[in-house]
Amino acid sequence: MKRSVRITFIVLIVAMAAAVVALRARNGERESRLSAPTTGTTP
Amino acid sequence: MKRFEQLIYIAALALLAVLLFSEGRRSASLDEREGVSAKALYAELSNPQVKVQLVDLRAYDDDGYLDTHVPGAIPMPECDPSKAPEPARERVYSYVTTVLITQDGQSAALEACKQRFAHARVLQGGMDGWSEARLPEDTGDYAPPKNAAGGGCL
Repeated sequence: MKRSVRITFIVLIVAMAAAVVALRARNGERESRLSAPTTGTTP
Repeated sequence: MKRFEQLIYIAALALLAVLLFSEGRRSASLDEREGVSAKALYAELSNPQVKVQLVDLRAYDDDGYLDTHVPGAIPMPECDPSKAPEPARERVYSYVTTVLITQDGQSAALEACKQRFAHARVLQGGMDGWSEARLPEDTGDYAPPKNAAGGGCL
């Protein structure tokens, strides 16, 4: 396999993995915020 | 090993694509549950590149839509087209990103309308939230936009 093709594959995989991790973290945070009980405090 | 190198890369890419797709779906379903804040909706409406349809599910009477509504909102009480005024009935499209407006942002309205729209969100706080944010409001009967009209609804 050509070096340039290998580098392209690796860059693509790293970019997609980073996107998956970022999206997972964001979704997890949103999900926990939504499922957290909303408690109101009066000043 | 070298023979399978390309195959391994392709398999890894396919796996990541599946993961990305499933996270995207999860994000879309969270969008539906979370709703949109009044200020975020105002920002969306101000952007002519974004097409958003506003559907007001409150009663079409002096205590509801006629008293005050988000400019450009289409009245469809209880998500029932038969209860909508005549000019509004043909204005509701199923495949446009839709924001559902209730009085106080209860998401039960979203459940009732889920079947009707491909992608629907609820306005957080409903019409009360929009008024509290001191954003532009409109009153009176629904008037469909004129064909020659250009620009946004605000």
